[in-house]
Amino acid sequence: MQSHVEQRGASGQGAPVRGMTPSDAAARLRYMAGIRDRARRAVLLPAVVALALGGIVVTHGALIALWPHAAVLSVAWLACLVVARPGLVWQRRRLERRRGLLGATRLRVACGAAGVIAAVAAIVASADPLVSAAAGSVALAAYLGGVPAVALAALVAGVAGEMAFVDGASRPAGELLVGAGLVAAGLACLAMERRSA
Amino acid sequence: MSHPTRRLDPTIHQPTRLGILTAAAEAKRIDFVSLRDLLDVTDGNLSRHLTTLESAGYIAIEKTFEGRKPRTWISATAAGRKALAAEIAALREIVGDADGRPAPKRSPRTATG
Repeated sequence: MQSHVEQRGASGQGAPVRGMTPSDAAARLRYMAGIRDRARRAVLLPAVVALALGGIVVTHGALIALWPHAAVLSVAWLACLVVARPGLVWQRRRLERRRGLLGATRLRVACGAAGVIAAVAAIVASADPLVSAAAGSVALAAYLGGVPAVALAALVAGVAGEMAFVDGASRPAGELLVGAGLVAAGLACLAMERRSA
Repeated sequence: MSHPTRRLDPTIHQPTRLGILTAAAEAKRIDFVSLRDLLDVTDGNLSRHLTTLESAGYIAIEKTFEGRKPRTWISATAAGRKALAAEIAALREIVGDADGRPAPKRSPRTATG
C-alpha cells in the first residue's frame, strides 16, 4: 500500500511527499486505524473486561436469588469492590509491565465514565444499574478496541435485560441473563482475537 | 492555502514510522518488543525508524533495567502527537477532496514540501 513516490527505509527525512492519491491516503488511514485498534485492544482488553464484568453480574444475580436482602447485599458487594480496588490496580499495572504496554488513562476513564453514566440512567429509569454499568463499559471498551460486533452484543444484552426488568421480570433472572450474555460476548471476543493473531 | 499533499510530514509519512507514532499515541508507554510485535517489523528496521523519530523530537526513548534485563520504553511527545494529528487531518482532506466533500478547516501548519 506504499505510495510509489514515498521514501523507503528510515532515511527519507526532509524530502517532500508527492503523488499521494486519495486511494493511497485512504489506505494509509485504514492502516493507522488497524494499528490503533490493536493497540487499544491491548490496553483495554475488551474480552477480559466482558468476562470479568459478566462474571460479576452473574454472581450478583445468583446471590440475590439465594438471599432476599438484596439491598444490603448490593452495598456489601460494592464495599468489597472498593476494598479490593488497590489489589486490582496493582494486578493491572503488573500485567501492563509484563506485556510492555502502559495504557493511556483517558481510555480507561472513558470506559468507566460510560459505566457510571449508564448506571445513573438506569437509576433514573428505575432499571438495574449494575446491568447497565457492566453493559455500557463492555460496549465502549469493545467499540474502542475495534470489535463493534462484541460492542453491539453487549448493548443488546444490556438493553434486553433492562427491558425485561422494567417489564416485571425478576432482578436475579435479568442479571443472570445479561451476565451470561456478557460472558458469551467475552468468549466470542477472545475467539476473534485468537483468529486474527 | 497549500494542497493537503504538501502538508504531509515526510518524517512520519513512511508507514512504519506512522505506525510507531500511532501506537505510541494510544499508550502512555510501549516497550520495544511490544511495538515490534504490533507492527510486525524486524528489530533493526524498528531501531532505525525509532532513531529517525527521536531525532525529529516526535518520540522519547527511555532505557531501563528490570533486574539485569534491559528494556526500552517508547512514548510519544507533545510534538509527535501534534504532528500525527496534522498528518491524519491532511490524509482525511485528501480523501475528502476526492469524494467531493467540503474540505475540513486546515490547520495553520507550515507546508513541508
